[in-house]
Amino acid sequence: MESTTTHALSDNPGELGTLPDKQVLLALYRTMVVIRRTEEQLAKAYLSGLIHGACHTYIGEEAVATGVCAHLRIDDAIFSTHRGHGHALAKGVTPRELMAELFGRVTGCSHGRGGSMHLFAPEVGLMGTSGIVGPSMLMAAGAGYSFKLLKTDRVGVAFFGDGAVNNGAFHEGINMASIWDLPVIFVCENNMYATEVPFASATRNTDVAARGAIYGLPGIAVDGNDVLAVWHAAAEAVRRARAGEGPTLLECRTYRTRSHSEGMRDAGYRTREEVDEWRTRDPITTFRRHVLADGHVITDELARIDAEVEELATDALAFAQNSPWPDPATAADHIFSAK
Amino acid sequence: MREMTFTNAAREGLTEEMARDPSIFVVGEGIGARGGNFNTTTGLYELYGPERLRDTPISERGFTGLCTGAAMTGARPVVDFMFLDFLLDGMGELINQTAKIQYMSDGRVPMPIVFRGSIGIVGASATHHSGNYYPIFTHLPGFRVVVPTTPRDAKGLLKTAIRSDDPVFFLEHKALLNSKGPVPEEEYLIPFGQAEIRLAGSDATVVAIAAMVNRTLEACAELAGEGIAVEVIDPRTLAPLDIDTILESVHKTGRLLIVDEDFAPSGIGAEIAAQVMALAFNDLDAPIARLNGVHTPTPYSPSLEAAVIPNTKRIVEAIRDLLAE
Amino acid sequence: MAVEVVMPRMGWTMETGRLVEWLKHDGDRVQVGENLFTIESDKAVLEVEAIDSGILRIPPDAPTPDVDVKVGATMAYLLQPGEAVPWQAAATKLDTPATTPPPRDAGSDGHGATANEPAPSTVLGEPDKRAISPRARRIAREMDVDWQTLSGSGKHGRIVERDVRAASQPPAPTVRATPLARRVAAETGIDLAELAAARSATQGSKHISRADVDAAAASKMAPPPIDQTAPAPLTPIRRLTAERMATSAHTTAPVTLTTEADVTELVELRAKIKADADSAAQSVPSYTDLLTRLVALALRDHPALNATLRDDAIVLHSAVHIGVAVDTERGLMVPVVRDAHSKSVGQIAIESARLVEQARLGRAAPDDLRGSTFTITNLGMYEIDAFTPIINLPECAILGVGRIVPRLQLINEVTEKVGVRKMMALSLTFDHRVVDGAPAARFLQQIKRWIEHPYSWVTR
Repeated sequence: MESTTTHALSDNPGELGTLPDKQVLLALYRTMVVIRRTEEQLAKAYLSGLIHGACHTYIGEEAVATGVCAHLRIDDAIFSTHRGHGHALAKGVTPRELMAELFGRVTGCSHGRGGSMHLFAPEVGLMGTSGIVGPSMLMAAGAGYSFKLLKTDRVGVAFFGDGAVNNGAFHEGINMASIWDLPVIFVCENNMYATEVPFASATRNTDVAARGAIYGLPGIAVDGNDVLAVWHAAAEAVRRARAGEGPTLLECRTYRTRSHSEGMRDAGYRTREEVDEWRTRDPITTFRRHVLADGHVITDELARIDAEVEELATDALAFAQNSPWPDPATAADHIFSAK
Repeated sequence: MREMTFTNAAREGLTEEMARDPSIFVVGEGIGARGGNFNTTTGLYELYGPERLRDTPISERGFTGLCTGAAMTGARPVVDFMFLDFLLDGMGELINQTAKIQYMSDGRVPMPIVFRGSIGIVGASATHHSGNYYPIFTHLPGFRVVVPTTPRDAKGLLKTAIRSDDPVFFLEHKALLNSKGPVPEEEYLIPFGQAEIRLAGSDATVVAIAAMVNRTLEACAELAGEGIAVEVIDPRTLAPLDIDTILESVHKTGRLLIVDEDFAPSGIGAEIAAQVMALAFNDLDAPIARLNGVHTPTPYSPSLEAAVIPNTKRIVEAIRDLLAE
Repeated sequence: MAVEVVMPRMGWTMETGRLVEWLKHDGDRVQVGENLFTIESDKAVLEVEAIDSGILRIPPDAPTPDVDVKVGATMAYLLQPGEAVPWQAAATKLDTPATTPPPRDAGSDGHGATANEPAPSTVLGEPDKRAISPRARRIAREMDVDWQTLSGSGKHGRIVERDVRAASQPPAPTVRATPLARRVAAETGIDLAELAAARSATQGSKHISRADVDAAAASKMAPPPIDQTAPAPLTPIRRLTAERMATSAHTTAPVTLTTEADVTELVELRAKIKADADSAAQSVPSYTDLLTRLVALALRDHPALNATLRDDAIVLHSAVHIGVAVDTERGLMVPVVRDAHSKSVGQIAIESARLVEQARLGRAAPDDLRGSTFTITNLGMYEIDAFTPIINLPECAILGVGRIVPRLQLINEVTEKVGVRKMMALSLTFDHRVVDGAPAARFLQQIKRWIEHPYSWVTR
């Protein structure tokens, strides 16, 4: 397929082309740090028993949500997965709202109904994270259908992992988006393991981007730990979508450096060496090193962001802890519309 | 009043709504230029074009999920499954996503979507084209379930379904599609949760579902000759269920039979019976009776098929049994 | 193998029976032919004998006296020595149909198999667990009816709403009232159904007119004290009587003719027979016996009054079976003197004495209580003159006999001779659907003449 291109993975983001301006760089950095610091608080809170159900962290994968969502407007719609804290924060959910949700409080973004896996913030275009693998692709295609039908330039984005690639939703969603030229970006976060099942044992062909050719849409593979690589690739995908040129499949190869879920053992399916090796490619530290080395930003600017975000995360924790519980009388509200 | 078929009345409702609201679109296999296997969209493609009359690949799960996403983001999809049996591939999307999004978003994301499809055991369609399935959906929080039985109701209820911000199953029994009846010229809507008393009587109450309404009315005509006056209630919507009309009738008659082509176990009849016992135990003069289709996959051969559906004779017998209690 | 002892069907129309008493006791050894218990059915008390031998075992939940039991219901078991009591199995068998619908055919309930499962163990062994629908229970409570005494007409004897309603009041005939009477009743707050019920005893089912309503309204101004006694449950006899009377009032077109007969000669005749009777052992015919014979003969001459309306045909009976209304402690009974037209007064006297005795003791056989073609009801002993008897269906006429009173009468119009004569009022109610006024009047006229001139018929 002519339109299908695959970027080579690179350890050097500088090769990807011109850097965005400084405000964008600082914003990308800040978003990644917000995700990291907030999730570190979540992981601690989980160990303290303050979080009640599951908690899947995104630590190590922050560059993907950050790079993609940097191009999205508030009225664009994203659909996410069980590992969705990063997407929520990148799309505009505040650390307070995310933290409070995992604490089960009424001030949480889903008002205490969802927890880690069911984050909703339609006000900022977070149309839901899901405990089920696959549906995000179908629903994002549906958002694309809506936006096209209603003659807007809004886009729908599906985040999903490598585990979803072999689910029928991948085939059906991408196929329909492709045949109808829907404004959708399919963002595969290929972190190499579906929980503990290596991707290589789940498919003969581990090249997700190459599957784009099968459906007749561009399939782009990028280094998912390189926020700029993601940012560049997403820029083109979003442009195509807004211009009515159809969907894009974006494969972001990345790695989660914590266990599948907080509190779960993280051994037996991957080696310590492998984890350590990916830690050296941590998206935040490599980005930081890169922009400082190039002299685009100075240490003080990043330090200011670090301090501000540190406070934000601490404040979020206090906010969540001090927030009221939902009223039990509301447990069955809003099953149906009021209309 | 003019007479129309069930299908034409429903289609008139659909086209009126599509003309009124450009966010409505229809998806399904062969619902574009072909007009739908059951003529649900005949002539609409010419009016509204391919984007609003969207022929799909055979991807039931896919377009169920896709339309769920579309409903969340400003459109009002009508998903035409042709045969409701085909929707089963999309059950995960329906149950895990469609039904729950309004609740999970705490009422901030609407779900204005209609799932329509033909149901029922008719014409040796065999087991993959004969399902009823509605108790699956009435069981779950978040769904509306509509089973119209007359052309008038088909149109009025479909328009209500399309205007609803909730997911609605609009289930059309194949035995009714070509039935004719009066349909008002002027615009009207029929609200959900209002049963219709198709026949008034005082000796016993029969709640009949979908095609069983007409069968029951035939049975009652036979019994009327013997002076037996049966009240026949057509719930029209199974979720919400108008239990009040049923309770009122049982208060009058003391006897209740539920006639349902679908299976008995955990079915609509079981639900109605449980509610009536809970709410009107002291009105009951006899055990509540059910007459259902046989609990089996649907066989093909006409002789076998006839053996699994309640027919007029069986309904007459069931009413007699009830009166003898 | 335990043999069930059931409530037997002792007559053609018997649907339920009541245990009166056990003649054998739990644990007794019983031989074929021995009497087990007595039952009351319709209007008779009967002994029920064992048709098998064994040891009688009466389950704890067996029907108790004064409870109506469906024909065929289990009363007890006859066991062989060493055999276990079958209570549990029996309880399951009896209770299952009441709690679970029976399996239907292939076209109905997918749950068919559950009907064969045992009933929940909690219902086992509960004494006298009577089935009643929740609705019937509620209505019984509302109407203050003791449903424990009722017999159920639902499946397996379940008491249903209609049983309670029937017990709470005798079935009220449809009120027949003129439109004007209805309007006035509505305006004056008179309950037409009540009025009709009050009138039915004296006026039959005649239309209620405005005058009736006015009268009721006037009497309403000074209401009688309300009877506060608790309602008594209907006995089978009361219920049967209620049903028959109501049916008669509903369906017949009754007309009552009254006349007076001079019974002086008949009184003298009876006095002679009585004087001639050589011992107390010999039956002296009562006036009713004499009238039974007389009426039987008159009916041979007037077959239109010895008839039954059946569907669209009038059946004239060749035989004359005279029913004689008898008041008993159990209520009204009508034993039947069969073939009265071919029996002598003496035979009739002997037979009716036996019948009345047995009826009063509640021992009349079912066959003695049915099949009459004409009924005589005598209220003379209560100082009643004329009244309006209700036709005993399926008959088409009934003769009411009043008291005998001495009265100054014109004996001879020509000589204007006056004397004290013994007079008797006669009330003949006939069904105008079956027979017209004139033939009925001629029949009554013949009875009157024969009463006045006994020689004309005693020789026949």
